[in-house]
Amino acid sequence: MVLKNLAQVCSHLQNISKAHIATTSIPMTKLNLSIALGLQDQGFISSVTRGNYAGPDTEYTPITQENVATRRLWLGMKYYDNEPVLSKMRLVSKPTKRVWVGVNGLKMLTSGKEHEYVKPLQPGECMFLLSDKGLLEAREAIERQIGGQLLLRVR
Amino acid sequence: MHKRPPPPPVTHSADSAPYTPADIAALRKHYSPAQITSFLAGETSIARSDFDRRVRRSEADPMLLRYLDDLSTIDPTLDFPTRHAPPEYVAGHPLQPLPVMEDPFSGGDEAAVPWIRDVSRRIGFSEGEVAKFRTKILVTHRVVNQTHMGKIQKIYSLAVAGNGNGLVGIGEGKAVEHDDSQRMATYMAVRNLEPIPRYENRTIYGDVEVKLGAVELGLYSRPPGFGVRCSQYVFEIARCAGIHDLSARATRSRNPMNVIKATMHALRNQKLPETIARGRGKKFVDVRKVYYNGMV
Repeated sequence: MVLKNLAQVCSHLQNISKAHIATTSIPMTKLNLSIALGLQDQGFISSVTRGNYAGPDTEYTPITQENVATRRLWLGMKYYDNEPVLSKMRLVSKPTKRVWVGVNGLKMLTSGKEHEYVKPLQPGECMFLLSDKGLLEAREAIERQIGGQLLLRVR
Repeated sequence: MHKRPPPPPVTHSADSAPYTPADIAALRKHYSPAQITSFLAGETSIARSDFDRRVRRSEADPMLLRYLDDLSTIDPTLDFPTRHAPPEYVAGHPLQPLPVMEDPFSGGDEAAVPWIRDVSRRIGFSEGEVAKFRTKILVTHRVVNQTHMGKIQKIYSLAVAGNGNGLVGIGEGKAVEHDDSQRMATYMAVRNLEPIPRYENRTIYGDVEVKLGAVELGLYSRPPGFGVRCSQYVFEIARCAGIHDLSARATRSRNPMNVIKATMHALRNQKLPETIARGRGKKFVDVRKVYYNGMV
């Protein structure tokens, strides 16, 4: 898993939000797909659609050897009250320093306490981590009593 | 008995003479018969002697009135009120009292300061309430403008005002005199009062990080009983606003004027749970109140 690509996705979505653009595309990878679905679950983006460089697919297009290079994920951005819903998106684990956290650490972060140099969660902030059970939001991970590698935080 | 001499014969000027038939024939070339009938009727409505008495408006005197008025009576719309009018209305008296609206906020406070009176009318608070607002001059320094006449020095002041219960505002004033500048700043601060959101009326919603110019300011929400542990300017603004638990950090520039402006910007740009909930389409619950019953 390349965190550099994930950092680019975070920057891109922040830039799109600042410019108030409706839809945008990110590279089609397993990690990006799981993060996009996680963001949609949490209500930060409205839609996740497969597509190519031109735009989202209108009908189902299977991924083949011919079109795999052109595959993109199209996300629908959300805006409320003249402000973007997804305004800040940052990596927690960086390529130079990976961060792993257990359940107790997650509980501290969600209760507003700093843990292992990770700032606590703000009101309305979400933290996504990669665990044995796949990509989870911090509160979902606490429910399941598992920890993992903190990937990104979204506000 | 001495007889009064006869009145002098009335002589009319040449330009007030009525139109001759030859004149009317010449006019018929340029005007329609209906037009000619209307202005001949207009001519007959003015007496020739009155027309002779007309006075051309002098180009040389710009202060002459553009209308006929002997200024013997006071018009309630056009004229300013007069202090020496009789208390009751007297028909035909040149000095007439004008209707005076009762000041709804006057509680008999005769020693009202002019700026308090002006600002209370503007913002809708009574003079007593305005006098009770907490105000403080935070920044004062000299500013110089180099003109063709030389260096003109003025004093600049920045004041903060608040009611200690959610309203806060800042104002700037610039004047040659120290007192004028401070009074101007306080007036503007009270005039610029605005409500700011507070969590539980004691702290802000979450942490706010703003960058205004070269100032990078972070305002951090703190638990009850923490106190306002901030630098002097943020402390004063929090005091005026009614924020009791706050922490602040100015990392880059600490220029007082800009830190104050950044603080106001931060207080205005809090992310409210209501907005987050509606934007994300999720239910937003304050765990402190719901689960811990306000104990934590």
